[in-house]
Amino acid sequence: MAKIIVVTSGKGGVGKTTTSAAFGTALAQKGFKTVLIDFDVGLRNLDLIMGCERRVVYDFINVINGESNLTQSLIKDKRVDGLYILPASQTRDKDALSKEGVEKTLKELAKTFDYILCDSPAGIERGAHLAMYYADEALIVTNPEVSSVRDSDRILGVLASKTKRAEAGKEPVKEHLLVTRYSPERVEKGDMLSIEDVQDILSVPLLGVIPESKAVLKASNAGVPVSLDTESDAGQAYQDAVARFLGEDKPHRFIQVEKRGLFYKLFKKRRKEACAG
Amino acid sequence: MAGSFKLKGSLFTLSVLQLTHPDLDVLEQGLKEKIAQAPKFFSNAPVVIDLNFINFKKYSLDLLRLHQILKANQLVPVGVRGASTKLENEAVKAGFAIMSETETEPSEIKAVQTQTVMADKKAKATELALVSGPSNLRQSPKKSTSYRAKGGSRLITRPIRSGQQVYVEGGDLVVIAPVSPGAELLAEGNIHVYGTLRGRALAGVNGDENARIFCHKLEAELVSIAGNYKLFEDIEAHVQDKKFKQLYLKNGQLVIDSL
Repeated sequence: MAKIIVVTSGKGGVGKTTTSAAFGTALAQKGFKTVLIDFDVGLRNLDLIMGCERRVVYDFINVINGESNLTQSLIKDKRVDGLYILPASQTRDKDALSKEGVEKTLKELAKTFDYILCDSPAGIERGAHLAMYYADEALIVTNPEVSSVRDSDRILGVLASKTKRAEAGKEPVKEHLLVTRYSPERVEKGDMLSIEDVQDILSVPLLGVIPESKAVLKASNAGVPVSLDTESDAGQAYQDAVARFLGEDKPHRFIQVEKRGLFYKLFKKRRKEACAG
Repeated sequence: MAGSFKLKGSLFTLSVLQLTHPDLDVLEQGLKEKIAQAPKFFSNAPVVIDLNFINFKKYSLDLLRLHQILKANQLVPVGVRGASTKLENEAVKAGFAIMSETETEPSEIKAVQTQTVMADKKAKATELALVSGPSNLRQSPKKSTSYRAKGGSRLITRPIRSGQQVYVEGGDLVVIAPVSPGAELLAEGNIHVYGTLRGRALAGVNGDENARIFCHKLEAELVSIAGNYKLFEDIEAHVQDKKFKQLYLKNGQLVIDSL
């Protein structure tokens, strides 16, 4: 019986799709059969981030409308075993999504998969609502920035009241906070909200902190989930987050300002002068 | 493992027949006349009998016969209320359920009063899932989010998120969790926040000038008692000192004191 995890945030552009790709890939690497579903109908991105945009034949809406079955529509990832993607439609709009259609698809996927990750669109409208409606757990992706925190708070309220679990009075959707684009230097300067600030406002258990990293853009453009870039800080942070999700006790990395030694400072200055000259 | 049934709570509106005279012959006649006026309204109508107005010290009532009269007139007797403990046994034997008393005064619609009777309800939780009141129970009692005490007061132990609104009718609101900016707390009574209040709190919304707001950490966007309000900029000084606060009306002015 699969666990349905929604990756949501409220605010746009904070890293939901990046997280869905990275988190899902890392889960599959640990041996769990994982499927990533793009719920952003009309503005699909998950296929791009996963690097499979040229292999899309059928999409989620086709499946819901019965125009294709799951076997025809699921795209198998070429790099990691047990990882599949169900892309969104690019030509239709979100009204094509129906609650019954989503439920039917999820039920069918649940038979063979361990984890179903629903990549939510931004906002609190239909697409976002349907992405979270059947969720068992939620990753709330938040930037350490006031409007992102406010929107995440809103989304938490919706998760607590407008999901199937809430309406049926069952165990509430399990909430996990994932702070992305974190920069300890800027926090130290006082420009950026700290982890403690975010947690104080949201009161949700912290799953992971992903540092602001150049690796994310690089991975995006290459169509590679950043967690496969194991040398990068962001990639490692996602791997850590998945380990924590699966129960391991991992300390949070990349949240302290790195103390540079004297030599680094000297060479940095030298290099700057050399470049300027 | 699936059983053949599920027990759920639900909310229904029932008519209340207030018995004002203990003579059942009079009732029988009166009922027939009333029903003749609007037969469809009464046909198979579930009905609760209010016994509060019968002086049982002077009179006695044959509850079994009452039950039969109601049924003979196409009414569906559901229960009684206002029966003394002694009378409850009789009522149960006669086939009535014992209904609880409600806090609010029912409004009169000619001779028939309609009253919302409360049972446990498994909620279809909505965005306003936390709105309470005798006619508005949407929370399931199993949910630990809130608990209904007597007198309509409510206790909430989970954070109140931006965009959520809580309205407590006829009682106090106690919150043991943070209240996010963009959340709204409204109560006809007092509001107690044993946590950080960052949203809006409006106490005494029915005009009760004695209502107060108690707050562990005051960082509210807006506070109001019986319509007299203050915004964050007016209370900023109090926000800084981070002490436990009490807000109340003094000569019509909203006053903030440290407790």
